[in-house]
Amino acid sequence: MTSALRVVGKPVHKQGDQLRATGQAQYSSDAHLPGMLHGSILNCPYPSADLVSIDTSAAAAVPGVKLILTPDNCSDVLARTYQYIGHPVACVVATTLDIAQHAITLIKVEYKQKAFVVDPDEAMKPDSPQVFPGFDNLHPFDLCSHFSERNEQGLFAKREAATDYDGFGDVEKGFAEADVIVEDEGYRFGLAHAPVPERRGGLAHFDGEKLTVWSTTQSAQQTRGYIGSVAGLQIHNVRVISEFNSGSFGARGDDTGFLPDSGPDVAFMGAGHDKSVALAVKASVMLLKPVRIFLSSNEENFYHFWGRGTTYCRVKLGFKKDGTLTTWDMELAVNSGLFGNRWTFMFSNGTALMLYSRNAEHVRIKKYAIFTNTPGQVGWCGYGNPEYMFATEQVMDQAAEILGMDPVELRKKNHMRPGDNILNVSRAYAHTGPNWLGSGDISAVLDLLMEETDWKSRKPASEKTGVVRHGLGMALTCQQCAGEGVGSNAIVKLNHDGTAELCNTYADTGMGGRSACRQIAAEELGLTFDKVRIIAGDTDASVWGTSNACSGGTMKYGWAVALACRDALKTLFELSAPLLKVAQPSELATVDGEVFVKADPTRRIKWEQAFLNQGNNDIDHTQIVGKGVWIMGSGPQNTEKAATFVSLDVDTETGQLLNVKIYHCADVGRALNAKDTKAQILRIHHGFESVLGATMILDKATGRLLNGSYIDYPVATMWDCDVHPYYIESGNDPTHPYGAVGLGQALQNGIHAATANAIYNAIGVRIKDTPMTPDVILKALTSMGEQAVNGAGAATQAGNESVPRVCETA
Amino acid sequence: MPDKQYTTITITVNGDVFRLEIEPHWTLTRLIRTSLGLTGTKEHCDEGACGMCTVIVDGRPTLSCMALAATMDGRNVMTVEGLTKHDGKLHPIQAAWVEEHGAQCGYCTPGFIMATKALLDKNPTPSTLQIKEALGGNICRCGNYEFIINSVHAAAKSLQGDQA
Repeated sequence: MTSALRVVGKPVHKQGDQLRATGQAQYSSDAHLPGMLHGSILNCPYPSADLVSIDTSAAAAVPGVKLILTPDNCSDVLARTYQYIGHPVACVVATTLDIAQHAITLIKVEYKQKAFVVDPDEAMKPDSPQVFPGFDNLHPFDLCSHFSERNEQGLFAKREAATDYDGFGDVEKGFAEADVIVEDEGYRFGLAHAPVPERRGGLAHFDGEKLTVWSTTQSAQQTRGYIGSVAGLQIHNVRVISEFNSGSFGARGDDTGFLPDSGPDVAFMGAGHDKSVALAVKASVMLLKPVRIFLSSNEENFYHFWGRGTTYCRVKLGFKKDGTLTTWDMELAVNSGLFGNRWTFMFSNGTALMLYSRNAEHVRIKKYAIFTNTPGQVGWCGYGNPEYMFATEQVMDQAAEILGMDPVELRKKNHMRPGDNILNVSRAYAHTGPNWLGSGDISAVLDLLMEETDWKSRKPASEKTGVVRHGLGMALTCQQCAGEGVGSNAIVKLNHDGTAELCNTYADTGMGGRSACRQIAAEELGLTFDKVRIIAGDTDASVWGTSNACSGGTMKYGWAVALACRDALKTLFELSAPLLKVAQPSELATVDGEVFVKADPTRRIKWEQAFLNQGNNDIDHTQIVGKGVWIMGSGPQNTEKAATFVSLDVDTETGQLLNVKIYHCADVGRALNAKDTKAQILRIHHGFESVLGATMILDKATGRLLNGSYIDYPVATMWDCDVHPYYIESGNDPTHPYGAVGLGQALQNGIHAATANAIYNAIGVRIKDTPMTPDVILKALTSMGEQAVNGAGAATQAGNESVPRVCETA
Repeated sequence: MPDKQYTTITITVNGDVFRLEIEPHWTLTRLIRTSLGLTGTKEHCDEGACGMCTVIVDGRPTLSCMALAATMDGRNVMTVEGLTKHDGKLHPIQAAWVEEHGAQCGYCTPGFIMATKALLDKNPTPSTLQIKEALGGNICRCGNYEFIINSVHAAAKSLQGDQA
């Protein structure tokens, strides 16, 4: 099938790019309707407060104000207890945005302020105010998974729910049997803001029968259910339109915009605390008018789109003398804001369960949420993994030094190979049987980057002198792109003129997935790319699909597309067989809108002739419809795997990082479109943003965000680093109709550790905080000078000391 | 609500002259997007720090979120919608963006394209360093910078070819 591909793998233009370049692309925030009303949201100014009273009389008296939503008339969306600055309190809907924003200022609210905590360090202290009364702010995550019943191939057949930790085996036994134990702690990944440009919001229009919502979402089908529950409508009366989206980056999951506000054990997927869409829906249903509510400033964006939560990590690894990694013990504590955020924890699955599953015999991953009076922390690309891999891939670097191995060789010794365990701990996915890596050659990825970065000439920090010192570091990364239970439907319509329309719900956030679906359909149908159109941004015209997340799009949507095309061709060939005088439809094939006999390609008819063979008249051609349904099962799993190498210079006088070059290579199985594939890798720029200096700074005394603007929050620009994107295609991945694996979700997982490893290689200092700003680097350099240690984790030779020494580092 | 104070301005946008009643606090972004319905120009940061609202005013790249509409009387504004020729073809800069995959999600694209137009009008063959100097204030949150630079080089080459 893949030997003579005509469309898949070819450099087609990305779907929608012409519209993006001409300004014609309609994002949800661009939608306007005649007679549209505008809403503005009143946000709580305190990090913890109860509502005492609210007086809307002055606001209601403003000419043009049509509706004021408060906890009194909209209790299912607006709460009376507020747990972060920005928590929605009320909403004014008026004829113009100016009037709505003015009326908001006239609402008189009396709050009862309460003790609060926004700093995760403070939150973990015993005398800290409790975010949820009766619950410690350090809250154990209890939706854990134990794996058991290894088969002959070493694959775990069984996953059982547990409350203590994720993993398998017996780590105490593992450490007792280890030759070398490496442990380190004190890693702290700083709070990072999700890089989403389009402001959140929606335009809702209820006409009395049907509700139409233009929403910023990557989950249009799932969002319909949430919207319906707020509107009091069933799904068939809810239409969601989301044609173009800006990058989603964790902020388009949408569910929190409709879920109850708080609780220590709430599971949610994406940001949306602003409730803008839910409020627009409520108002439209009450007023029978179109109502548009979008956040009105970037600061609001900052207050509601919290990204990666501050994460603390301790890691302990056990090795054999030859570098075989057998035992993995890890603890994570993540600032989860006002949610227990179980969802993110489900994906913070520990590289031991995938990337280094090859030799791992004992794994224990313990997780805690830290509650603070901030919005729920969500995460994006990597979804919980960059935060702890910042630690784990540095400890691997330390282990290599202690074991006397090259860091790359240590990874080669332990990285997963096809057939090794892929263990997802997430309840978002089922686990009905062994799951394993479908394809991949991480060693080849490493070889390519070693060559590109001249890794072999790399010298240790001890051999470097001068004010500016060069460093080269690396880290591995991986992530499962989808798991058991996700899937999609697709419908394909064949037209008599040799064209096709494809219907699914592929949210377009700019990664080229809709193009990939078109390519797959064109390939299956023997058409050129331009003969296939995709209809995917309107739930009225599309069909169900799992949220477009986790970089699993071209797999979970692609399969349904391929199956729908094959279903349609079955009908086409059945109709053509009598005309071409063959006994079996299987004797036929199609290309460029013609059906021909495989054994004698000169015997051929146009599609049009087959369509007329449906007993119709010769004017009104019918249409052939094919359907595809696909759900991911157990077995081989679609898994992103890649390596990030970082080359940089450190100015030891200023602490600045100079001449940063990022080399990232992924094994993509098959590149469906070379430029889109490389473009995905360029997204590592925003991972480097949180390396360089971007973190959200909160005032402990007031709870206020101090840098909620791009003036104060340093976003990545084209000046900050150079990215060199590479990929290899090691072979057809069995999980994808055309052998591809996801790309993007794991992009940011290794960049922070790779940079820290490069800094260590330059100056011999271990950086355990992000962002790695000059002051952090200078402080670490000063600390090194004072303590005459290099910050690396301690190792013990089990044969030399009776009890492994637990290392404590600064 | 305080009494509204309207001002009337005459502004040329994409070659068409408009006489518009505006309020003093309106930005040029608001005039373009709301009064004229030209939603190609995007608003994001509203503080002059992202470049997504870039338009060209009298030949200069301008952050429309930082320009008050009241100061636009008699000015000549070009938005991304004004680039497209009336021959059904893309402008060479737009064509270069499509060809070189200069857009990912595309939210920053109109701003980048207008900044590029202003650059190439003055410097038809910019070096990569000159591109970074001219476009360094435009932010792409997808991080597509290498392909954006490729797109500018391709556009420059294409425009040079048009003139040859």
